[in-house]
Amino acid sequence: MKDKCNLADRNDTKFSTLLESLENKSPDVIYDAMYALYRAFVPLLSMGELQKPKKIVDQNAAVMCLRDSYIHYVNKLCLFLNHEEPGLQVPSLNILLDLLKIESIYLTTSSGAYYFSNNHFYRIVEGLIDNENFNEHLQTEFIDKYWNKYDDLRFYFLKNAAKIINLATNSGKPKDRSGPISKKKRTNERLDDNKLNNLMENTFSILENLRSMPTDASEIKDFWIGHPTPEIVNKQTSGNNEEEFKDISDEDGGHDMNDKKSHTKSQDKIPPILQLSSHRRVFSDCWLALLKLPMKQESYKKILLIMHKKIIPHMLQPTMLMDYLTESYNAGGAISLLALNGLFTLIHEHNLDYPDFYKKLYNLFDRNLMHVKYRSRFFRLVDLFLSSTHLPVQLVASFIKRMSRLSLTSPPHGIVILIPLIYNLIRRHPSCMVLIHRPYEIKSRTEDGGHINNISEDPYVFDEPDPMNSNAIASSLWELKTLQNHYLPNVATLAKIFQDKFNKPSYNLEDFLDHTYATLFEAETSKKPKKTPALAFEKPNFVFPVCENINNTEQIDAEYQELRNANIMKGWEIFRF
Amino acid sequence: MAKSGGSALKRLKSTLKEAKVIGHGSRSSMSKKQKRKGKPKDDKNDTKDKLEFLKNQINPFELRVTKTKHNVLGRKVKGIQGRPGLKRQIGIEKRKQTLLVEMESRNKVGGLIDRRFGENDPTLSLEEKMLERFAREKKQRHSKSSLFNLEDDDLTHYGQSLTLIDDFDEPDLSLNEEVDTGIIDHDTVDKGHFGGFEEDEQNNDESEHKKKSKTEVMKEVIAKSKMHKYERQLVQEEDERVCNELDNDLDEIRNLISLPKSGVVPLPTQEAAFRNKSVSNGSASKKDISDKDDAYDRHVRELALDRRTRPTDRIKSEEEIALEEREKLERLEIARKRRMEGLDPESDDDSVKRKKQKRTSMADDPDYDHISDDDDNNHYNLAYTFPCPTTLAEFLKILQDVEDEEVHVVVHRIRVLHHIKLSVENRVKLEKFFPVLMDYVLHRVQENPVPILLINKLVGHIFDLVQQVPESATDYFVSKIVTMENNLTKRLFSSGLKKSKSMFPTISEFILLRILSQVFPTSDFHHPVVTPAQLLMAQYLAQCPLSNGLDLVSGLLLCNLMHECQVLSKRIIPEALNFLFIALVYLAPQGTFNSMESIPGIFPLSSKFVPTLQIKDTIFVDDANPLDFSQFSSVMNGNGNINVFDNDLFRLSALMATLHLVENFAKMYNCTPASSELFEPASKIIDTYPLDKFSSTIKIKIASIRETLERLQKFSKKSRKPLELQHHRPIPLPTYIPKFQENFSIDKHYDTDREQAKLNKLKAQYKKERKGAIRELRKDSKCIAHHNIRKVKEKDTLYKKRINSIMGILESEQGEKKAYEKAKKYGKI
Repeated sequence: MKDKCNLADRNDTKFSTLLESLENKSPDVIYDAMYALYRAFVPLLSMGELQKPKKIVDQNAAVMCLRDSYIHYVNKLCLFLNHEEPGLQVPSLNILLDLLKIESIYLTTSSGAYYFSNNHFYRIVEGLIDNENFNEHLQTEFIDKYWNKYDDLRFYFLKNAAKIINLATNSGKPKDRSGPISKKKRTNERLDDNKLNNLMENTFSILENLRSMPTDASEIKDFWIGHPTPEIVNKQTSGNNEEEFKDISDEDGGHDMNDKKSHTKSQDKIPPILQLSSHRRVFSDCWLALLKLPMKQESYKKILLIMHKKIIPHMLQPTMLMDYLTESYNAGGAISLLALNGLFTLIHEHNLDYPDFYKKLYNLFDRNLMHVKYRSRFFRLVDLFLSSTHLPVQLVASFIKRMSRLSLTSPPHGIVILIPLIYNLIRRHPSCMVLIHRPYEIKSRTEDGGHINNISEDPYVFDEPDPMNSNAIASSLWELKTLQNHYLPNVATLAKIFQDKFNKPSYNLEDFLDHTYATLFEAETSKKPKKTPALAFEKPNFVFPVCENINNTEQIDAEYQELRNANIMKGWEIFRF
Repeated sequence: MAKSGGSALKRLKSTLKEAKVIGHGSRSSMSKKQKRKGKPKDDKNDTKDKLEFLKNQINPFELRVTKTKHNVLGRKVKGIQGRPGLKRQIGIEKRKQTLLVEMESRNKVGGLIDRRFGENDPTLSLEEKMLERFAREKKQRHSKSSLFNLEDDDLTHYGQSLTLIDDFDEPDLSLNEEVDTGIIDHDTVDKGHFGGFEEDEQNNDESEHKKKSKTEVMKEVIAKSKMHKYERQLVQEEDERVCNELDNDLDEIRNLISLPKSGVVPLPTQEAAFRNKSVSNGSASKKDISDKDDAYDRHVRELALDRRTRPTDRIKSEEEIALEEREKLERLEIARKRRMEGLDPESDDDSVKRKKQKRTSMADDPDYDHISDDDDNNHYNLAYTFPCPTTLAEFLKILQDVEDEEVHVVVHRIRVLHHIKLSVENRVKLEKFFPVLMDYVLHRVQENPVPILLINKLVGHIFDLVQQVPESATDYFVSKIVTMENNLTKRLFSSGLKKSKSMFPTISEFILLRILSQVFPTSDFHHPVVTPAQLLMAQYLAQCPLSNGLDLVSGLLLCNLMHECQVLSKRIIPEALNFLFIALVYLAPQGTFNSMESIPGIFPLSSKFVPTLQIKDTIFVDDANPLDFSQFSSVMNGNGNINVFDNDLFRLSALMATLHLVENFAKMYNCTPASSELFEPASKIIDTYPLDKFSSTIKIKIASIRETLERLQKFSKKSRKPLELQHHRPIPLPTYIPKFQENFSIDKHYDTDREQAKLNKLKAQYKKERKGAIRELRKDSKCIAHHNIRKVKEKDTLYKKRINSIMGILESEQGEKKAYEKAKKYGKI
């Protein structure tokens, strides 16, 4: 003990100078000091010298001093995570996690039970997600090197992040409710907004890259801090043992232990870290906490994009997302399109009952649908939804007519989605054949029924929100007939399929979904023409017609000149060259 | 016939017995008495006949029977019974007669071939043959007499007609007499021949002559004929003399005629030359002859070397030229229409013809370029020859001191100098020159102001060059638009970075697209250059954000360009209409639309509304001007102030231009069934415009456009009927009942495809024939081999025999010699 004390005494001054140099402006100095301190603390830490002492003894004053400087060091490192310089952020992260490992290992071995120094890690997580300078380097370092590799780090990260976010959101709310907002409060609010935003962005950017979420308990096998094998767990006999080991810088140190205690009661053998359900729980908690945060449009879209593949499968109770998705679905525009996927997963796999689903779907076919980026994703689902043969004819006809109407304003890559889809629908619902083929007898019959008075006006009502009342079945798909004369030969040819016999097999929509102008253009230009392309045979006289004002002519000729100019300018009247 | 069982010998015996050749009832078993008495007809021949008959009877060993499976009664199947031995024998016999004969006569030349008529025709009897031969001979003679009738021609001998010379000088055969006088003199005939004796009472005085005796008469006749002969000889001699005289004189006369008069020697015929030579060998000197020969030879040579003038096309009259031009244009128009419908323009009947003419249609015609030659004369200070530039820098160097007005002359001269018809390398040169010229134009249009007059002059040359080097021109244009597309895509993806810069094409890109649509037909259903270009223009219209007036003008320019491209084919361009409608919304006077939902139509509309384009108040503006291209180009080229596009005057012009384009498109798409759906938004938008924001003239204009749109929509709605696209025969339901054939026969082919059946049949036939031929050839070679072996054996036996006989002789001689020696030895001799 004495030796150690002396050692501490000796090093005390050195520690303080090194700690001071951490305040230095030059990153190089900080870097060196950081590592120097790291090397100094590692042996002490691995011997448990820096633990909170059990009894307060005078001789331990030096130890306390050491411990203080260690705490100071850790705090500083956590701040460095927030540093502008990635060259400092990354090493501080590495050092912090190494320290975490050493500390936890010491505690595990000394206690004989699995111990994760979560208080330490909590600070790291906080440093990571509440971070203004969370850049790519730090992100990739953390995600690739630690987070996606080690199950325990992931587990505790999710747990801590949820906690931090919840704390932040809860702290924000009461402020809002409080009376008149002072200027200071307003700045606080702005700060809060900023913080929430950071939390949101950073957490999402980490969660987005989650790749190693276990789907089976057996997959939980990689640990940053040794494996919590059952043998060690078995050694946990009494609560006393646990309480002996308190964290350094411990304010609410028992948190982790309490958790463990409660779990050990229910499931004696398996610690929560090895249970799939607990992993899922922390995952759900974290996401639910995250979704409560205000978010930007882009992040919103991104979340909805990964919802059905990356989030819902790992949720403990996916139905918790129901409200969120329903609200998103009702938001309109691209958000609705994206929410559809997650919603569908819920309906399909988790028995969500959604009333007026098709009506809502019908109303998603709006003027911008064919022009947004996510149309292929949407149509993949639409194809699925409309694949049922049990849908009422009016409904299907309304969908068909609406799609056909939209095709009139669609870009070519949109039209090539719509036409095969319509074709498949008509094939599947032969009673919709009247949309493209209404011989005289059928027409007169419907006229008797009082549906149509005058066919010259399209009976279909585009603005009717209910597909069952749009009267589409009485209409005809003139739009497709018009598209048979589309400027792009591929589209025109495709539109002509409605004129052919309906004996082709259904189209595989997947072949048509991912076209863009670029792909269509490439398809047009990449094939070499076999023969010389046709040439024009009228020799042009000008590139742009120029109105010549002939001055020498008499005024009588003015009319003639006008006529002549009009002739020259034919087709280009709106410009003056 | 024969009993089964027993040895072959026994069976033979029994057979013979049955046939009564041997045993009881046979001739040998009959007693002499019986023979004499009972069956006198039975003689030796009878037995022979019987044996022959037996031999011809079918020997079961020679029969080969194929066992039939599933035999059906009453059905005749060929080839169950065969007599291979007999067949083989027949084959061998046949080969002996044909193949072996041919083989024997192989390598043998000569011989007599009887070519007389009908010699090889067994159907004709001898009599018929003879008759026909006779007839032919007669005919041949007859035809020959007409062709080579020697009697009609006057053949001469020593200048005397052969007919005059009588080889047979006997008086009774002479042909020299008058026909009516006959051979015997007149009196004799009259009096001595038939009927002459009855006229004695008329000629009393001559009755004394009658009294002449027969011998006297004969003597008189002989004397007379002798006299005649003598006279004839005299006449002949006289003729001969005259003839010779004439022959001698003839040369002189001929010389007179053929004497050259003015140096130009009329070409003497070969005969004449020959005769000249032969006749004048005495008189003319040798030099003279050689001179004449030379002249002749020269002439012949000249004739041989002289190239004949070819018949040329006569110069066409003006109408004909016009007609041809019209026909050519009509032909091209038909081809264009076919391409517009997406058909192959050359799949007509006269495709080959058209193809041939197509290539020579325009600029390949060397005269074609010289048509526009007239203004060439005004540019005296220009050089007349220029090298063909291969890079833009070279071209710019050439044009260093050239005025803009003269650039097209330079280009023209370069093109004339390096016309494709003049040399093979010129094609390569022009292929390099074309991109240079295009680059030059695209380079020049970046200037300010844009030299429109210059490029207007150059576009004709570009057009002609494209006609001359279509492949490389196509490559050039395609590579250009590919670059443009790549740039656009790149800019769209990095749109966040450069917001200020317009995404729409630059002036040079505009000009490129414009020229492209002028040199290639824009109405084709599919065209390797125009189709991607259209797609690119549509992409510009659809994806470039419309944020200010400049973008608006760019878009309108593109819309106008696309409209012009579709004037003929009237294809639908949704992007252009979308753009125009969006422009109408953006240009709407302030306060027209309060919310996104209130905007009619289903064209895409981003929620980011651009208020900068809203018309504020234009009640003071009387009339709208057309959009100023020079203003636009100067701003695009970075030399103008963008603010010129930020005032109500401009916005009003843009609005009127947009409305005008909408009207044009509406007129163009009038025929399409969904035209009312296409243009409904436009009229609805115009409806919502508060017209009090405009001056009265503008109001009237807008109203008239609105009315036009309304009218067109009404018309199209009235004329359209429900679609009836499926007028096909109903699609038959698939049946799963197996298809049975009534009265199926395995021998028949039930192939539904006639052509296929035919082909299969032909194939089977071919296979069969091939197999047959192979079999025959095998048999042939076998036969030849047999023959050869037999021959060799024969030869060998012959040889052996000869050797044996020789050996025999030698042995006997040797034996004799030995015997002699023995005898000598023992002293016998």
